[in-house]
Amino acid sequence: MPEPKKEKTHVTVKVQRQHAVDVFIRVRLDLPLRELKLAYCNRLGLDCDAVRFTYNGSRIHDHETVSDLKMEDGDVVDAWYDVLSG
Amino acid sequence: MGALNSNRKRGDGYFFKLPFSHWFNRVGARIFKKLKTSSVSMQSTPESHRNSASRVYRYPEPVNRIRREVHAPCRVSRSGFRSSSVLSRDRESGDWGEEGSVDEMGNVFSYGKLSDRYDRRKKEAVESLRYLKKDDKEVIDVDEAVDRAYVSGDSSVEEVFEVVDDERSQEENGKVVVSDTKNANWTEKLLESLSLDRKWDGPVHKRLHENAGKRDTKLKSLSSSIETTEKAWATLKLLHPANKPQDEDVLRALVREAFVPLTEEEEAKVSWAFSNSSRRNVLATHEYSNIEITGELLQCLRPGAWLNDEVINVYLELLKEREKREPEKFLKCHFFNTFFYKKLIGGKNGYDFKSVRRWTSQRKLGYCLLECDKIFVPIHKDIHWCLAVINKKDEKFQYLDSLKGIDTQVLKVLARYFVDEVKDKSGEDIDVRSWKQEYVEDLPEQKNGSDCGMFMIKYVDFYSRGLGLHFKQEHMPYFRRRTAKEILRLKAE
Repeated sequence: MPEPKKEKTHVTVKVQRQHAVDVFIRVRLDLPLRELKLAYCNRLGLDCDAVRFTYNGSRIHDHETVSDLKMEDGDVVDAWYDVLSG
Repeated sequence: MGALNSNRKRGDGYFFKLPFSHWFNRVGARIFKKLKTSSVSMQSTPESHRNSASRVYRYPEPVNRIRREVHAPCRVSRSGFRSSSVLSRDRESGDWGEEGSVDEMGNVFSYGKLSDRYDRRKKEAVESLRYLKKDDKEVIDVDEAVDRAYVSGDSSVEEVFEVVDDERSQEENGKVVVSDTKNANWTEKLLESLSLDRKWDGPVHKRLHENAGKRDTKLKSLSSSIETTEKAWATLKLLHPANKPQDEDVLRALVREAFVPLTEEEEAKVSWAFSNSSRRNVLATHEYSNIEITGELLQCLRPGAWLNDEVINVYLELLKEREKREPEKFLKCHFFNTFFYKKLIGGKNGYDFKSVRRWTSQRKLGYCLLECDKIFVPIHKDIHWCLAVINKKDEKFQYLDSLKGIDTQVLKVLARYFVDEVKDKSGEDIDVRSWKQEYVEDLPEQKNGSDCGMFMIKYVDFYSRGLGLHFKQEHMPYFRRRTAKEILRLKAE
């Protein structure tokens, strides 16, 4: 007997960065997104302080969760490096 | 006129040289011939002849006198002036020779007589020369010169005939005069050929009148062009962003607000934030955008440092909050962050609307882009910050580069984006083909290699105030400290 309408517990988001390969990360709905950032940076060997994550153009707070942001499967999270210009 | 002048100038040297060589060739050659026949033992003391042109005359030596004079004209034949003076002496020496042979009573007597004659001739020669020169000058520098030149040529003829009494020198002078008037005619002709666009057939006053008429039409066209430019200026003024606050005082107050000096306390705070001791500290946290500004980040506002995108993004957020706080004072604007444009052009085809479609949802922003007067898009070009503006108020796309660069791609992409965005959010089809794509030329220019970011955010600041870009490179150190202060307080004024 299949469970009736099991609540979705995870979403898979795509992390995009310029000049880099897209990375898919599966995140639990109630997990603070700080974990996503760390996972991405660890995977690619980046300095977490130097990378910014945005979702739909807004910065992702460390304590926000997927459900806070109403993320869905396949949504894109952007990762950006520091930019300095004169 | 310029062409004419230069012609005349060229004519100066031209006229001056030619008549004399002409003249000299005629007269000098003849004299040379004559002297050749009269001199027999000429080669005895050639060295002493050279420098004794005047001394010969002062200390007359009857025997050698003629011979000494012989070489003089040949030696100094180059410049017109000297050759002529020498020539006059030559003529005289011809007389001299005759007199010397006839009158053997004493040198003193003949000396006085001769010196008188010499002086007179010299005077004549110089005078005729002066006339000649005057002729040249007048031909050269005045409009109605030809007529006058002709007259003065005549007068020189008269005078010469009056003064001359000696038969031979009359002949000679006559020749000179002939060549002189010839010169005048000739220069007239030459001048005519040289002057490019003139008709010399009318009298002077007619010609002058014509010239004045020409100037008159020029003036007319000038005044009409002045009128049109003034009109254009007026319309431009109307279009100018500085026109939102109609009242002059309000405008001035707004400008003053953009340049309020920092208080001592604020200065101290900024100095402390710029110091290395606060490098590691988080100096400000913008809650809404979740941007933490550490001392290290803020130090990019120190003079000469390149601006960090984080600082720019925070500042743009603050500008938005400022507008929300006092909506009547500022234009309704939307400020995209520094990531937007990169994301928009990040797709395979250099344009990816889908990826930014949700950036501007009504739910997220609380307003629609179509409602905004101006939409600011920071453009990051490798190592340079520029600004693009979707100016809905004036229906144009603007591109502002403090180094006056031009990127046609940016405005094309933004035009396309704006059409897509409006269609996506409101379902309307908007036609932006008539919108102007403007590369703003009249903007404060960056004079160094580090202030472009500062220029960029100040373009945003001033435009969102509805002001023109009334600042310069000199204000940048102040703007840096002011921005630092505003970020530390998390409130833009």
